Amino acid sequence: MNHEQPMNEIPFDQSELSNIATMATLMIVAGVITILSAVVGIAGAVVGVAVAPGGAMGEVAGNMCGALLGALASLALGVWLIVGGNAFKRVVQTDEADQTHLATGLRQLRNVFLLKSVLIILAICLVCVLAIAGAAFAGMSAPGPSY
Amino acid sequence: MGVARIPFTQAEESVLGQLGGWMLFIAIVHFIGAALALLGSCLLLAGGAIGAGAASELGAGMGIMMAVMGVIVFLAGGILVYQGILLVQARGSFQAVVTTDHADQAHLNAGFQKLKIFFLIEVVLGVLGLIGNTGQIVALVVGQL
Repeated sequence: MNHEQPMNEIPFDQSELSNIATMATLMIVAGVITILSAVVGIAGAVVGVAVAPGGAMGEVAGNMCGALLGALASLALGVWLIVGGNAFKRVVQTDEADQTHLATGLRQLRNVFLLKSVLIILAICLVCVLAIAGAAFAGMSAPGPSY
Repeated sequence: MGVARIPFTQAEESVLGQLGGWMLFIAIVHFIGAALALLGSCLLLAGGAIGAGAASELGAGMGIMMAVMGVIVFLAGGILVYQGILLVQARGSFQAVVTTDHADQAHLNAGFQKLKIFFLIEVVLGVLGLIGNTGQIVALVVGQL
Protein backbone atom coordinates (compact mmCIF):
# COMPACT_ATOMS: atom_id res chain seq x y z
CA MET A 1 0.00 0.00 0.00
CA ASN A 2 1.13 3.52 -0.73
CA HIS A 3 0.58 5.89 2.23
CA GLU A 4 2.49 8.86 0.80
CA GLN A 5 0.63 12.15 0.57
CA PRO A 6 -0.09 13.36 -2.99
CA MET A 7 2.12 16.27 -4.04
CA ASN A 8 0.42 19.65 -3.77
CA GLU A 9 2.92 21.35 -6.03
CA ILE A 10 4.89 19.53 -8.71
CA PRO A 11 7.70 21.94 -9.67
CA PHE A 12 7.02 22.16 -13.41
CA ASP A 13 9.19 24.80 -15.10
CA GLN A 14 7.81 27.46 -17.45
CA SER A 15 8.23 25.41 -20.65
CA GLU A 16 6.58 22.36 -19.05
CA LEU A 17 3.68 24.48 -17.77
CA SER A 18 3.25 26.04 -21.21
CA ASN A 19 3.31 22.56 -22.76
CA ILE A 20 0.59 21.29 -20.37
CA ALA A 21 -1.48 24.47 -20.84
CA THR A 22 -1.39 24.14 -24.64
CA MET A 23 -2.35 20.46 -24.45
CA ALA A 24 -5.20 21.28 -22.06
CA THR A 25 -6.51 24.02 -24.37
CA LEU A 26 -6.34 21.69 -27.37
CA MET A 27 -8.21 19.01 -25.40
CA ILE A 28 -10.98 21.49 -24.54
CA VAL A 29 -11.21 22.70 -28.16
CA ALA A 30 -11.28 19.07 -29.37
CA GLY A 31 -14.05 18.38 -26.84
CA VAL A 32 -16.15 21.30 -28.05
CA ILE A 33 -15.65 20.24 -31.68
CA THR A 34 -16.66 16.66 -30.79
CA ILE A 35 -19.88 17.89 -29.13
CA LEU A 36 -20.61 20.16 -32.12
CA SER A 37 -20.07 17.15 -34.40
CA ALA A 38 -22.68 15.26 -32.37
CA VAL A 39 -25.17 18.09 -32.85
CA VAL A 40 -24.39 18.30 -36.59
CA GLY A 41 -24.75 14.50 -36.86
CA ILE A 42 -28.24 14.60 -35.34
CA ALA A 43 -29.17 17.59 -37.51
CA GLY A 44 -27.92 15.69 -40.56
CA ALA A 45 -30.07 12.66 -39.70
CA VAL A 46 -33.15 14.84 -39.15
CA VAL A 47 -32.56 16.74 -42.42
CA GLY A 48 -31.99 13.43 -44.22
CA VAL A 49 -35.38 12.14 -43.01
CA ALA A 50 -37.11 15.44 -43.86
CA VAL A 51 -35.57 15.66 -47.33
CA ALA A 52 -36.22 12.04 -48.32
CA PRO A 53 -39.50 11.14 -46.55
CA GLY A 54 -40.19 8.24 -48.92
CA GLY A 55 -37.80 5.86 -47.12
CA ALA A 56 -38.99 2.72 -45.36
CA MET A 57 -39.91 3.15 -41.68
CA GLY A 58 -37.25 0.64 -40.59
CA GLU A 59 -34.56 2.43 -42.59
CA VAL A 60 -35.51 5.81 -41.10
CA ALA A 61 -35.57 4.37 -37.56
CA GLY A 62 -32.19 2.68 -38.16
CA ASN A 63 -30.62 5.91 -39.40
CA MET A 64 -32.01 7.88 -36.45
CA CYS A 65 -30.85 5.22 -33.96
CA GLY A 66 -27.35 5.20 -35.50
CA ALA A 67 -27.19 9.00 -35.38
CA LEU A 68 -28.37 9.08 -31.76
CA LEU A 69 -25.88 6.41 -30.63
CA GLY A 70 -23.06 8.19 -32.48
CA ALA A 71 -24.09 11.49 -30.92
CA LEU A 72 -24.21 9.93 -27.45
CA ALA A 73 -20.68 8.54 -27.86
CA SER A 74 -19.44 11.88 -29.23
CA LEU A 75 -21.09 13.69 -26.31
CA ALA A 76 -19.32 11.42 -23.78
CA LEU A 77 -15.98 11.88 -25.57
CA GLY A 78 -16.46 15.65 -25.70
CA VAL A 79 -17.39 15.93 -22.01
CA TRP A 80 -14.40 13.77 -20.93
CA LEU A 81 -12.04 15.83 -23.11
CA ILE A 82 -13.34 19.09 -21.60
CA VAL A 83 -13.23 17.79 -18.00
CA GLY A 84 -9.72 16.37 -18.57
CA GLY A 85 -8.53 19.58 -20.21
CA ASN A 86 -9.87 21.63 -17.29
CA ALA A 87 -8.08 19.34 -14.80
CA PHE A 88 -4.76 19.85 -16.64
CA LYS A 89 -5.47 23.62 -16.72
CA ARG A 90 -5.81 23.54 -12.92
CA VAL A 91 -2.37 21.89 -12.68
CA VAL A 92 -0.98 24.96 -14.45
CA GLN A 93 -3.09 27.64 -12.76
CA THR A 94 -3.04 26.43 -9.13
CA ASP A 95 -0.55 24.87 -6.74
CA GLU A 96 -2.92 23.36 -4.22
CA ALA A 97 -3.37 19.79 -5.50
CA ASP A 98 -1.27 19.28 -8.64
CA GLN A 99 -1.06 15.50 -8.37
CA THR A 100 -4.82 15.10 -7.78
CA HIS A 101 -5.61 17.29 -10.80
CA LEU A 102 -3.04 15.40 -12.88
CA ALA A 103 -4.63 12.08 -11.89
CA THR A 104 -8.11 13.42 -12.78
CA GLY A 105 -6.88 14.55 -16.21
CA LEU A 106 -5.18 11.23 -16.87
CA ARG A 107 -8.33 9.33 -15.83
CA GLN A 108 -10.40 11.34 -18.33
CA LEU A 109 -7.77 10.71 -21.03
CA ARG A 110 -7.98 6.98 -20.25
CA ASN A 111 -11.78 7.14 -20.62
CA VAL A 112 -11.44 8.93 -23.98
CA PHE A 113 -9.03 6.37 -25.45
CA LEU A 114 -11.02 3.48 -23.91
CA LEU A 115 -14.29 4.65 -25.52
CA LYS A 116 -12.56 5.28 -28.85
CA SER A 117 -11.17 1.73 -28.73
CA VAL A 118 -14.58 0.25 -27.84
CA LEU A 119 -16.18 2.15 -30.75
CA ILE A 120 -13.51 0.83 -33.13
CA ILE A 121 -14.05 -2.74 -31.87
CA LEU A 122 -17.84 -2.34 -32.27
CA ALA A 123 -17.38 -0.96 -35.80
CA ILE A 124 -15.16 -3.94 -36.74
CA CYS A 125 -17.74 -6.37 -35.25
CA LEU A 126 -20.55 -4.62 -37.16
CA VAL A 127 -18.63 -4.87 -40.44
CA CYS A 128 -17.95 -8.58 -39.78
CA VAL A 129 -21.63 -9.28 -38.95
CA LEU A 130 -22.79 -7.40 -42.07
CA ALA A 131 -20.25 -9.25 -44.23
CA ILE A 132 -21.34 -12.65 -42.84
CA ALA A 133 -25.03 -11.74 -43.21
CA GLY A 134 -24.39 -10.53 -46.77
CA ALA A 135 -22.54 -13.72 -47.67
CA ALA A 136 -25.29 -15.87 -46.12
CA PHE A 137 -27.98 -13.91 -47.99
CA ALA A 138 -26.05 -14.23 -51.26
CA GLY A 139 -25.66 -17.97 -50.64
CA MET A 140 -29.39 -18.40 -50.00
CA SER A 141 -30.49 -16.42 -53.02
CA ALA A 142 -27.99 -18.07 -55.40
CA PRO A 143 -29.54 -20.75 -57.64
CA GLY A 144 -28.87 -24.28 -56.37
CA PRO A 145 -26.99 -26.91 -58.37
CA SER A 146 -28.99 -28.37 -61.20
CA TYR A 147 -29.02 -32.16 -61.45
CA MET B 1 15.59 19.64 -12.49
CA GLY B 2 12.20 17.88 -12.25
CA VAL B 3 10.88 15.59 -9.56
CA ALA B 4 12.43 12.12 -9.80
CA ARG B 5 9.44 10.38 -8.28
CA ILE B 6 5.84 11.55 -8.13
CA PRO B 7 4.11 9.38 -5.47
CA PHE B 8 1.26 8.07 -7.63
CA THR B 9 -0.99 5.57 -5.83
CA GLN B 10 -1.51 2.03 -7.14
CA ALA B 11 -4.85 3.10 -8.63
CA GLU B 12 -3.29 6.10 -10.39
CA GLU B 13 -0.46 3.99 -11.78
CA SER B 14 -3.04 1.47 -12.97
CA VAL B 15 -4.87 4.29 -14.82
CA LEU B 16 -1.58 5.28 -16.48
CA GLY B 17 -0.96 1.67 -17.47
CA GLN B 18 -4.47 1.31 -18.93
CA LEU B 19 -4.11 4.64 -20.75
CA GLY B 20 -0.91 3.34 -22.35
CA GLY B 21 -2.61 0.10 -23.36
CA TRP B 22 -5.55 1.78 -25.07
CA MET B 23 -3.22 4.29 -26.75
CA LEU B 24 -1.25 1.38 -28.18
CA PHE B 25 -4.48 -0.22 -29.48
CA ILE B 26 -5.51 3.03 -31.21
CA ALA B 27 -1.98 3.37 -32.63
CA ILE B 28 -2.17 -0.16 -34.11
CA VAL B 29 -5.57 0.69 -35.66
CA HIS B 30 -3.97 3.83 -37.13
CA PHE B 31 -1.12 1.79 -38.62
CA ILE B 32 -3.59 -0.70 -40.17
CA GLY B 33 -5.64 2.21 -41.53
CA ALA B 34 -2.47 3.76 -42.95
CA ALA B 35 -1.54 0.49 -44.67
CA LEU B 36 -5.02 0.32 -46.24
CA ALA B 37 -4.74 3.99 -47.25
CA LEU B 38 -1.36 3.31 -48.88
CA LEU B 39 -2.87 0.39 -50.81
CA GLY B 40 -5.85 2.54 -51.84
CA SER B 41 -3.64 5.42 -52.93
CA CYS B 42 -1.48 3.06 -55.04
CA LEU B 43 -4.60 1.71 -56.78
CA LEU B 44 -5.96 5.22 -57.31
CA LEU B 45 -2.63 6.49 -58.69
CA ALA B 46 -2.36 3.47 -61.01
CA GLY B 47 -5.95 4.02 -62.17
CA GLY B 48 -5.18 7.71 -62.62
CA ALA B 49 -2.12 6.96 -64.75
CA ILE B 50 -4.14 4.61 -66.98
CA GLY B 51 -7.00 7.13 -67.22
CA ALA B 52 -4.70 10.05 -67.98
CA GLY B 53 -3.36 8.15 -71.00
CA ALA B 54 -6.88 7.57 -72.35
CA ALA B 55 -7.75 9.03 -75.70
CA SER B 56 -11.09 10.53 -74.63
CA GLU B 57 -11.30 13.82 -72.72
CA LEU B 58 -13.63 12.23 -70.14
CA GLY B 59 -11.18 9.39 -69.47
CA ALA B 60 -8.28 11.83 -69.05
CA GLY B 61 -10.36 13.98 -66.66
CA MET B 62 -11.29 10.93 -64.60
CA GLY B 63 -7.63 9.89 -64.55
CA ILE B 64 -6.53 13.26 -63.17
CA MET B 65 -9.31 13.15 -60.56
CA MET B 66 -8.25 9.66 -59.47
CA ALA B 67 -4.61 10.76 -59.23
CA VAL B 68 -5.57 13.76 -57.06
CA MET B 69 -7.67 11.47 -54.83
CA GLY B 70 -4.73 9.07 -54.62
CA VAL B 71 -2.47 11.87 -53.36
CA ILE B 72 -5.11 12.94 -50.78
CA VAL B 73 -5.53 9.33 -49.54
CA PHE B 74 -1.73 8.99 -49.37
CA LEU B 75 -1.51 12.16 -47.24
CA ALA B 76 -4.31 10.86 -44.99
CA GLY B 77 -2.31 7.65 -44.53
CA GLY B 78 0.75 9.72 -43.62
CA ILE B 79 -1.26 11.60 -40.98
CA LEU B 80 -2.49 8.27 -39.55
CA VAL B 81 1.08 6.96 -39.32
CA TYR B 82 2.27 10.17 -37.63
CA GLN B 83 -0.57 10.07 -35.09
CA GLY B 84 0.17 6.39 -34.43
CA ILE B 85 3.86 7.14 -33.82
CA LEU B 86 2.93 9.99 -31.45
CA LEU B 87 0.65 7.65 -29.48
CA VAL B 88 3.32 4.94 -29.25
CA GLN B 89 5.88 7.50 -28.03
CA ALA B 90 3.43 8.98 -25.48
CA ARG B 91 2.63 5.46 -24.27
CA GLY B 92 6.35 4.78 -23.79
CA SER B 93 6.70 7.91 -21.67
CA PHE B 94 3.67 7.06 -19.50
CA GLN B 95 4.90 3.48 -19.07
CA ALA B 96 8.26 4.88 -17.92
CA VAL B 97 6.43 6.89 -15.22
CA VAL B 98 4.90 3.64 -13.95
CA THR B 99 7.91 1.34 -14.27
CA THR B 100 10.75 3.67 -13.22
CA ASP B 101 11.28 6.19 -10.41
CA HIS B 102 14.17 8.28 -11.67
CA ALA B 103 12.55 10.97 -13.85
CA ASP B 104 8.74 10.85 -13.47
CA GLN B 105 8.23 14.56 -14.17
CA ALA B 106 10.40 14.50 -17.31
CA HIS B 107 8.60 11.38 -18.61
CA LEU B 108 5.18 12.95 -17.96
CA ASN B 109 6.24 16.10 -19.80
CA ALA B 110 7.52 14.05 -22.75
CA GLY B 111 4.18 12.21 -22.92
CA PHE B 112 2.20 15.45 -22.80
CA GLN B 113 4.36 16.93 -25.55
CA LYS B 114 3.41 14.06 -27.88
CA LEU B 115 -0.27 14.24 -26.87
CA LYS B 116 -0.26 17.99 -27.56
CA ILE B 117 0.68 17.39 -31.21
CA PHE B 118 -1.82 14.49 -31.40
CA PHE B 119 -4.67 16.72 -30.20
CA LEU B 120 -3.57 19.57 -32.51
CA ILE B 121 -4.02 17.20 -35.48
CA GLU B 122 -7.35 15.99 -34.02
CA VAL B 123 -8.57 19.60 -33.76
CA VAL B 124 -7.60 20.42 -37.37
CA LEU B 125 -9.22 17.21 -38.67
CA GLY B 126 -12.29 17.85 -36.47
CA VAL B 127 -12.74 21.37 -37.86
CA LEU B 128 -12.39 20.07 -41.43
CA GLY B 129 -14.92 17.29 -40.73
CA LEU B 130 -17.33 19.72 -39.11
CA ILE B 131 -17.12 22.09 -42.10
CA GLY B 132 -17.64 19.18 -44.50
CA ASN B 133 -20.66 17.79 -42.63
CA THR B 134 -22.26 21.21 -42.22
CA GLY B 135 -21.68 21.89 -45.92
CA GLN B 136 -23.41 18.61 -46.80
CA ILE B 137 -26.45 19.50 -44.69
CA VAL B 138 -26.63 23.01 -46.17
CA ALA B 139 -26.34 21.56 -49.68
CA LEU B 140 -29.15 19.08 -48.92
CA VAL B 141 -31.41 21.84 -47.61
CA VAL B 142 -30.57 24.27 -50.43
CA GLY B 143 -31.09 21.50 -52.98
CA GLN B 144 -34.66 21.07 -51.70
CA LEU B 145 -35.54 24.78 -52.00
